[in-house]
Amino acid sequence: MAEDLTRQSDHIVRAAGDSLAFQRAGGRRQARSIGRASARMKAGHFVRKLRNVGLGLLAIFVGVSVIGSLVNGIGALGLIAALAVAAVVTVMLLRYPRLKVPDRASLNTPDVRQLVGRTELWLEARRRTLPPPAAKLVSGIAAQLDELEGLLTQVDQNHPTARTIHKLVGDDLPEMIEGFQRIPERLRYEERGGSTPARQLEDGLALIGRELDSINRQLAEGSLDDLAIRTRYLDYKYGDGEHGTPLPDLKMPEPALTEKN
Amino acid sequence: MATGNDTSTRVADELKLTPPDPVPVVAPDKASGLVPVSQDKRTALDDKVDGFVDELIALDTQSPDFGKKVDQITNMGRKEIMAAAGMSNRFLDRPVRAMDQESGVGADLAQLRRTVEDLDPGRAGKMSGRKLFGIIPMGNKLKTYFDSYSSAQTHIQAILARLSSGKDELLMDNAAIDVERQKLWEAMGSLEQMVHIARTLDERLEDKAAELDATDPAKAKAIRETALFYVRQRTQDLLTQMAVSVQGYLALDLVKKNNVELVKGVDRASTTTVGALRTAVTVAQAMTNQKLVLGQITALNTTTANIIDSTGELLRQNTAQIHEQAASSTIPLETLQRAFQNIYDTMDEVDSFKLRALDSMKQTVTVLTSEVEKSKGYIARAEGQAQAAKAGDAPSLLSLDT
Repeated sequence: MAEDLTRQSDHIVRAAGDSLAFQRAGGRRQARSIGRASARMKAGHFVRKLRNVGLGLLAIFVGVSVIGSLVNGIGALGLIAALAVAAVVTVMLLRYPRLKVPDRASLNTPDVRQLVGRTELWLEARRRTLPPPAAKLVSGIAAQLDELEGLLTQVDQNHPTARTIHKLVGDDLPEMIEGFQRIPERLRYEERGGSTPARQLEDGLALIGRELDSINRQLAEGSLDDLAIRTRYLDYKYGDGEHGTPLPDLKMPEPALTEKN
Repeated sequence: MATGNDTSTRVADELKLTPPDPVPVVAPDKASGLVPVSQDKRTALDDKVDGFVDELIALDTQSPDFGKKVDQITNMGRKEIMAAAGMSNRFLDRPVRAMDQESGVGADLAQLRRTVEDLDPGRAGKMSGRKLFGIIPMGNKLKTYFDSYSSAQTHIQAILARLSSGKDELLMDNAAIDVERQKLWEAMGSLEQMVHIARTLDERLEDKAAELDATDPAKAKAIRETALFYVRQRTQDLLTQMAVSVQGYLALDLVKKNNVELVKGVDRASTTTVGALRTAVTVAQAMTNQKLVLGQITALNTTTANIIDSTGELLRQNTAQIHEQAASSTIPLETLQRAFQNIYDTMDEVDSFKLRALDSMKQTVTVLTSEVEKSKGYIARAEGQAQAAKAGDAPSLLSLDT
């Protein structure tokens, strides 16, 4: 037994460290959403539940009225019973249906808002099971997804870039995390081929983060350019055309450059 | 103020539109060094290369890590090449669009010409003579002639408005070109830095290999055959892309200059047309005592003068001259004739400019097309290698910090 424990000491120390990091980050009490999109999904779900409660209470009220008119008043006991039923219904309807964490297959939808929202919910559910460095990366990715959502909705969804994003966010990212989680806990930190699965996961997530960043930049580029062009145009038309950064010119010795071939 | 008849309605300086020269072929070996890289950057890049070379030399040539390092070389500058290539695909767009004769300013100018020709006093034949057949009073015939202005003015105004919006498009185009060139300049700066890295790497590896020849010939051979080989291949790719980018940069400038000339042409065409209409108003007053009300001319004139800042002043001066001239001149109709001649001269100049510019443009497009094609071949190869060695996606020693 004691022997076993020594062999697992690495694991124990690491688990303790992870636990500490997890508790410091808010632990299980942490209710904050990972990103705006998942917060929106949750809010939407809550509104639906409120609506259910409203409908349920209305139904009880109508039912009680009907019964009351039939039996000529339900009496104090009936009223108490009705209130009890109402309380139970309210509690139940506020609790259920639980917001289901979307499954992997349903993540990649053509609808951008759904794609981002579901992926964030999914990430949120998985985050706490990941090693802290990876969890941190996942939080960063969620923030990028929020940014991406706004940009992506303005883009034609059949554009190659859009499809790349769908694949990256809807397939590659969850596949990466799921693949890691399929590995038994004990083997996740074992050195294999110069790297450990945990480190590979971190590298992969960091790569996805960088890629998302460059995609976001790329998507925002159009708007950035439009603004720059508009400013320049106004300057040409109404200004003296010399504002802004003067364009550098290539100083080329003519004969050295021209080479007919 | 000139008082001579022949110069009074002439726009002071002759309109001369010069088409830009076609963009020359830029040979890859001449392409680098055009975009400056600061000394600080050079030193930093050199340090990077030294670090990389030291690491490479320290590794066993048989180890997978050596292979990984070499993969980094094959991936070197991939991002920079892709970025520049993405832009060069758009280079051809602009010159080709600029060559399109059937749309925009060209079409509007042609229409303006047709409308103006209808009003040309020279075309009205007999009226232009001062002599009359006694039966028909001259005033009446002239009156009909001048009346045709009233019916044409809305049309002319519409065309002028279109010309002015066409001019706006040209300006917008130039603004877009400016932004594109700016980005291209940055991309070329990155390429230039990568070229610097590649060249330094080449030098250092060559030196190291020569050093190793005595102590470890096998390693020297491996370095020459793998690392150095890829470095040279990569240098060529980078230079090819650089050449295309430089050419694209110049081609964009050509389109821009072309647009600037066209804007001048449009400005002048508008000014001369408005000038002719004003002359007509004055001449009508002088000859027939007819108050030719081209109500919109006034409004038109202010807008046009606002748009055409540089020539607006000219127009105002001219108008004063015309007025004086037409009122006092014995041959006012000739003044009008000259005003029309001015319009024709302008349009002829624009037409011939477009022909000459078209030549430049065609030459540029042909050269650029073949260069872009060439660089596409390189990029395809580079991409193939990149697919084979995905290692370069992570930031490596051989990438620029941006």
